[in-house]
Amino acid sequence: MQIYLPIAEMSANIFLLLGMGGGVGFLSGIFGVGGGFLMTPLLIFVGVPPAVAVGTEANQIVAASVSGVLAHWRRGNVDFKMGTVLLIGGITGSTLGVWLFSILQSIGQVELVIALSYVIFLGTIGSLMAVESVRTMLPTRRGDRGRRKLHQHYWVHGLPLKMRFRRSKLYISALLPLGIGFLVGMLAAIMGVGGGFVMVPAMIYLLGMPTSVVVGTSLFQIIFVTANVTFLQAVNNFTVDVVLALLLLTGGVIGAQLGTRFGARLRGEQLRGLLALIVLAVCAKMLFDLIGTPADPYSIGVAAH
Amino acid sequence: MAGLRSAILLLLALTLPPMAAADERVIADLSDYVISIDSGFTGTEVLLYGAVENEGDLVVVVRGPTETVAVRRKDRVAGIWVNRETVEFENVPSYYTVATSRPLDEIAQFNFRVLHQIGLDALRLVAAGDRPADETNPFRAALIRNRIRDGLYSEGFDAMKILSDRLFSTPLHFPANVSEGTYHAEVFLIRDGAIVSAEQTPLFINKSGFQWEVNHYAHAQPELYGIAAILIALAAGWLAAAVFRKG
Repeated sequence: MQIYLPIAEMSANIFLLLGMGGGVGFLSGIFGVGGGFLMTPLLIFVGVPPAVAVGTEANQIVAASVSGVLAHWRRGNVDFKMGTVLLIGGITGSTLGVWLFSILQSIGQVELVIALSYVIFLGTIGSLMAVESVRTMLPTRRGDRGRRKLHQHYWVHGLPLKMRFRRSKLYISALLPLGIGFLVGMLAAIMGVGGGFVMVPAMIYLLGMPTSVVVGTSLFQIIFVTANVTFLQAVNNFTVDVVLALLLLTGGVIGAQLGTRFGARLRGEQLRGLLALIVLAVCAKMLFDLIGTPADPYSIGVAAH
Repeated sequence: MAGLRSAILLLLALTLPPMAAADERVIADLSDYVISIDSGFTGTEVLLYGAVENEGDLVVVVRGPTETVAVRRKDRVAGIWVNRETVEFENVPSYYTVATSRPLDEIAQFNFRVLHQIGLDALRLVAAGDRPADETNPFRAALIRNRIRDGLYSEGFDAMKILSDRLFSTPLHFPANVSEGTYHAEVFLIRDGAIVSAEQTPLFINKSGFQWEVNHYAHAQPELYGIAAILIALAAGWLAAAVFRKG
């Protein structure tokens, strides 16, 4: 059954879209990741214009993050003060990102920048995860790898504008979460992702936040940043397809529930290896599309004015 | 479709009044004047049919609303393919199809066809800015090639069906990605390289139903549309959490 997507201006199979939502939702349920970094490339692969894929995915992530944050909020796992500082950076970064997106679109380079960003980020994250999972699967010969100190001191602790974050038990410079939020906001605008895959490791290793509040706090920030991206993309670039977003999130919600239940029965390191393979496969496909000789080097686009 | 065509031709043959031999007219009509693009739209076909009195070559030209398009060329930069040069064309028909009874170059000369905009090679596509033709020609060719690939441009003489030298019909294909607006179908009767008779019929393509409302709203009220998109997502996310919490 075909359905016409009003903003993407194309017909697509409704079951394919529901299936994609379900599949990515299933994976995000298993792995506890957002899934935007898989969904946006998949949408591009099935022929959705990359700009629409990015804008629409931001919209879908709003929904996915709300579902997630409610559970964490009930358990008190959200550091609202930290989330707000991250959010200020995120709003600034995503606003700048959408502005950049508009310029790139008018000069015909937005698709290149989207693809390059994906190749770089998926390649890096996928490789890191692959190495990590191989390392954990191999029998650990060296018994003790040296324990991390509870609080290490780097150059970042010398930055000004120190703030106390009670829930995270931290006294650090606000510039750090502001910078992280800013970077993640840029990614959200240009790649159509929540950015959890960058923010969560940054919160743990850079800020030193306790892992219990990391996911809830990052989801809190992601809701507002992706909502900002949704609004600005809709206003400046007309690239948010509500019909497409609804189909994806319907499949996604169901998939995520199944994935969560299924994931509980699998072993962690194998899961991580599997996710690494998927991420690297998507990265390889994107890279191939960039370096492979196009069937027709000419393309038709929207005029600049 | 073939069944419909035969039926219409038969009906025409039976109902057309005998016309005076001196009448040089060509008459034509469409099986549909209004095409609605709704949620299930995957493209459609409209039959253009008609009758001619005298012999001659038949040319059907259908043109969609015009637009400005940018044609970009990718070149290899540091191993990856990057859009480099851009040529903009103004007043480009979003849809253009030519169906003829014989190969086009046998029907009329190039100059004549340029004058009447008949044929893909004769289509007037003007590049914006003062750029020499030999620079923009590859972009012009690419524009036509792309549009043919998308099913928006076509030219051919094998689709037209002619019955007893009097009745003709040709199918017009409209793919899912056609633009909205007023289209013009022209039928020319050409003899010895000159137009003997011509007829024009408009055709309207409308986006209709829920999807069009969404598209229209997104462009007319982008701020409200953006807020609505966020609210829908918030509600959907909350609903999902509520449903699966109980379940």
